[in-house]
Amino acid sequence: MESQKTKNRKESEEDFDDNPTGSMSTVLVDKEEIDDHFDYEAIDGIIESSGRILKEIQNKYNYLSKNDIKQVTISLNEALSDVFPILEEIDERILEGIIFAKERKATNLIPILQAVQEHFDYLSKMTMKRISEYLDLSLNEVYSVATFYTQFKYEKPGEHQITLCSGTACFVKGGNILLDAAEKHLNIKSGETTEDRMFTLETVSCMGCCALAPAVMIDDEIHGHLKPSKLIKLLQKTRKGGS
Amino acid sequence: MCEGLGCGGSKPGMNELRESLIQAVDLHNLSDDVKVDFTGCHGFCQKGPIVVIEPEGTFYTHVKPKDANAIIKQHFIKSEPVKRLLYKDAETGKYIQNYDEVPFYKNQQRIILRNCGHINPEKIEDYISEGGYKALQKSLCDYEPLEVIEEIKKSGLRGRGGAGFSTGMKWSFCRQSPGEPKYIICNADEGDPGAFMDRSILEADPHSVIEGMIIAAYAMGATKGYIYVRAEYPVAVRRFRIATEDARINRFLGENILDTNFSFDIEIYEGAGAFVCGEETALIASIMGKRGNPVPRPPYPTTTGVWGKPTSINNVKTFATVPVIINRGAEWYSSIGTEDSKGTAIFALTGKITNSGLIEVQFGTTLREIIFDIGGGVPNGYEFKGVQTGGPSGGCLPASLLDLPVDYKNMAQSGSILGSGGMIVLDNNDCMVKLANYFLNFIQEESCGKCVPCRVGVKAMYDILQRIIDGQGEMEDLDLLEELADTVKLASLCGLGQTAPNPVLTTIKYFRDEYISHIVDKSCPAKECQALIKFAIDEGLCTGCTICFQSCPTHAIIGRKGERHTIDPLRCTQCGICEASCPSKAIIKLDRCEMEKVVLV
Repeated sequence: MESQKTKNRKESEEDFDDNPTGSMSTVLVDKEEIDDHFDYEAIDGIIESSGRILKEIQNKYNYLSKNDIKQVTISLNEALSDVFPILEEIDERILEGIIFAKERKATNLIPILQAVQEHFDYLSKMTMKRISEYLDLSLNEVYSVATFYTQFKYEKPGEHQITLCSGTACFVKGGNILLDAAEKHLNIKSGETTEDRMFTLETVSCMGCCALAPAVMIDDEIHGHLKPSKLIKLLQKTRKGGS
Repeated sequence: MCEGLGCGGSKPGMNELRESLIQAVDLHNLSDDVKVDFTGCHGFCQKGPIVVIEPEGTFYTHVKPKDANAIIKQHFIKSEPVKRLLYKDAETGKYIQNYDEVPFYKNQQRIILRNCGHINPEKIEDYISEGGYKALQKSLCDYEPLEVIEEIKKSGLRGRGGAGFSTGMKWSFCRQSPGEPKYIICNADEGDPGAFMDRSILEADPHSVIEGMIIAAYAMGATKGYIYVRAEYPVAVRRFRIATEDARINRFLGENILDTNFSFDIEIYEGAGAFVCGEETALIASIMGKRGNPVPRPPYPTTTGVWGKPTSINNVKTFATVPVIINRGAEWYSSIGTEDSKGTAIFALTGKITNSGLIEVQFGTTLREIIFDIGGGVPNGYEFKGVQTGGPSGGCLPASLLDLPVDYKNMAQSGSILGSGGMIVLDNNDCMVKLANYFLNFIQEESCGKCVPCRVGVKAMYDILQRIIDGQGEMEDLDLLEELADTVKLASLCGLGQTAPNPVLTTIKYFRDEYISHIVDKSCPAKECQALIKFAIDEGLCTGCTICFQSCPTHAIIGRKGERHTIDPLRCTQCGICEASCPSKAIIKLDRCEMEKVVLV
C-alpha cells in the first residue's frame, strides 16, 4: 500500500515538473505555490483518517451506505481542496479510500466494484486497474466479472437517468411501444446516452411495480400508467428543468 | 399507511402524504390517540396509495395528500368513514368499509404474508408483539435440531423458489454432509419479470425471514448465513439491514443466541443484476466474487456449496413460512393445501386484470378463483385469453384450463411451472407468438453463455419466432421449433436453459391456431405483430386533438387541430405510438382481411 502511494506521488510530481504551464497551471499559479500546497504528509494524514473512518463504519455496521461514503468524501474533498485543488487526484484518493475500506480478498471484488460505481457512477479503466492491483487480480479477471453483471456501467451516464421497465406486465401493457417512443424521441438506443449528455436510456427486467404498468423511472421517481405522448412530455419537462 | 413501491410510485408523493396525515392529526389535536405509521406492501397495489385505520381495519384507497384532512376529521372526530375513499365493489356498486370484507382479501389465506401491511417493518417490537421470535425460542428450548427438521419434513413444506424440492429433505442432506462450517443462504435474487413477492416480504416483514433463517441454521448446525438480494431492491436491502441489527441487539443473532450455546449471524450480499444468479450454483459463484456461471450438479450445494462447504439455499418465502410451522405445528400446516402441495402459495397477479397485486391462497385453489374472484377478471370488457405463470421458465395456460387446481403437480403436467409465482393475465389483444418471442429474447439476453444448447439453441428459436412475427414463417418452422425446444430442454446445463423452451412449447400446444394464422394467413389475430397490421383512424371517433400528430416519430399523421386526422400509409412504420397515445381510442388496427376490405371499398 505504502509503495503504491509513493509511486503515485512521484508520478504526479513528474506530471507537474514536465508540464508546469499546461492545463494544471490554470488552477495553480506558480511552482513555488505548488510546493507550498503540496504538503504530502498532511494529505496522507487526511486520506488515512478518512480511510480509517470508512473502515470503522464498515466494521461497525458491516457495510458502507452511499450516504456514509458521501459524507466522508465531502469532508475529504473539503479538507483536500485546501491543500490539493486538483480534482482528478482527489478522485484517485477517494477511490483509494473506498477500495481500502474493504478487506483485501478477491471475494470482495463485486462489493468493491459496487461501492466504486456508487460513488463515481461508472467504472473507468483507471478504477478497474486500481481494484485489480489491490486485489492481486489481473485486469482481465476484474473486467470479466464486471461485464457479467448488468449493474455495472463503463461510461459516464447522462444527467438524467431514464429507466424503462421491460417486465412481462409492462410488456403486455405496451412497454415495448413506450421504449420505441423514447428511443425515437431521444434518438438513441437503449443503453446509450444522448450526445448532449442529458439523458441515459436504460431498460430493466422488472422494477416490481407491475400494478403501475407500464412504468418508467426518471431519475429516482417512478411514473406509472404512461402513454407514449405523456412520456415524451415528461422527457421534455425534465430537459427544461435540468438545463 | 402503505409505503410499498406499488403504492408509493414516487417517493416525493409518499412523503407528502405522510406529512399531510401528520399535520392533520396535529391540527385536530389527536396526536395522543392517533399515530401515523407506515407498513410494507398490503398487496392490493391497484388501489394504492392505501391507508388503513387500525385496529378496526377501515380500508381507504387511492388516498391523495389533500384527502388527509378529510380522513382525520371525519373518521376520528365525526366517527364516520370517508365514503368516497372506501373500496367500491365493481359488481354490486356498494362501498365496503372493512379490510377483511373486500373480495380481494376475503378469498385469500395469508400465512406467509401474515404481517405484511400490519406491522412497521423497521420496528422489531411490532414483529415481537405479533408473536415474532416465539418460534425461535420454541425451537431452541423445546426441540433438538433433528426434531426441527422432522417437523418441517412432516409439514410437507416444499421450496418456494420454483423447483418445489422438499425443504426438510434439503435441510437433512445439509446436516448429514460432512464438513464444517455449514452455511445457509437465503435466495432473494428475484429476477423473474412480473414477480415481486420476495421484495414485498423483505420490505414488509423482514424479521419473519430472519427468524426462519435462524431456525434453519439451528436445525442444520450452520453458523453463518448469507442473504443474496438484488441490488435493484434498495429499500429491501435497507430494511433487512435494520432488521438484522435490531435482531442482534435483541440477541436473536450473534454469539450465544438467547443464552444458549448456539451462535449464528447473517451477512447481506447485494447481487449485481444477473437473472441466472437465481440458480443455486451460479448464486454461490457470485457470492464468492466470480462470474455467475452455473456448474453441473451433482455435487449439490448441500454437499459442496459456498467455499466448498455444505450449503442450504432456500427462498425468502420458504424461510418466512418456517416460524409459522414451528408455532402452529406440522399437522396444522399439512392440513392446508392438496395431497402433494401443502400450505399456501403467493402469486403476483398482474397484466390485464382488474385487481392487480400480491395474493396468497392455499394450494388447490383454481385459476378461475384466483383470476376472477380475487383478481376481479379482465377489465375494459375484453375477453380472458390465458394466463402466463412462472415467468420465463413457465408457460401460458389457456381459458380451457381455468378450473385447474393450482399445485406443483398440476402445473407441471400442463407444461408450465409454478415458479416463483408470477401470474400475468392476458386478454384477446395479446399475441401469444409475440409473448413467446419476448420470453426467448429475455432468456437469450440473460443466458450466461457457458453451454451451447442454451446459448445457441435459444437464439435459433428466437430467430424462427421473429421470422414468424415478421410474416416470413413457414409451416416447417413449427416442427423445427419443437425439435429445438426438446434439445434445449434436454441438453442444457442448468435450470435456466432447461426451462427456457416452456413458453414456446405451451403456446404451440394451446394456441397452435395463432401460429398457423401467422404462418399461413400472414395475419395476427391479436393485431399486435407490426409487420402484419396497418393502422387507420376512425373518423367518427377522432376529435382532432393532434396528440397523435405530435407523437408520431415519422410524421405520418396528417391533419390540423380540430379536423379529422388521417395516416399516410407510406410513412407509417406501424410503431403503435399513436394508438397508445390516443385519448379517444380513435386509432384502429387492421389485420390482413380487413386491409383487403378497405382497399376494395
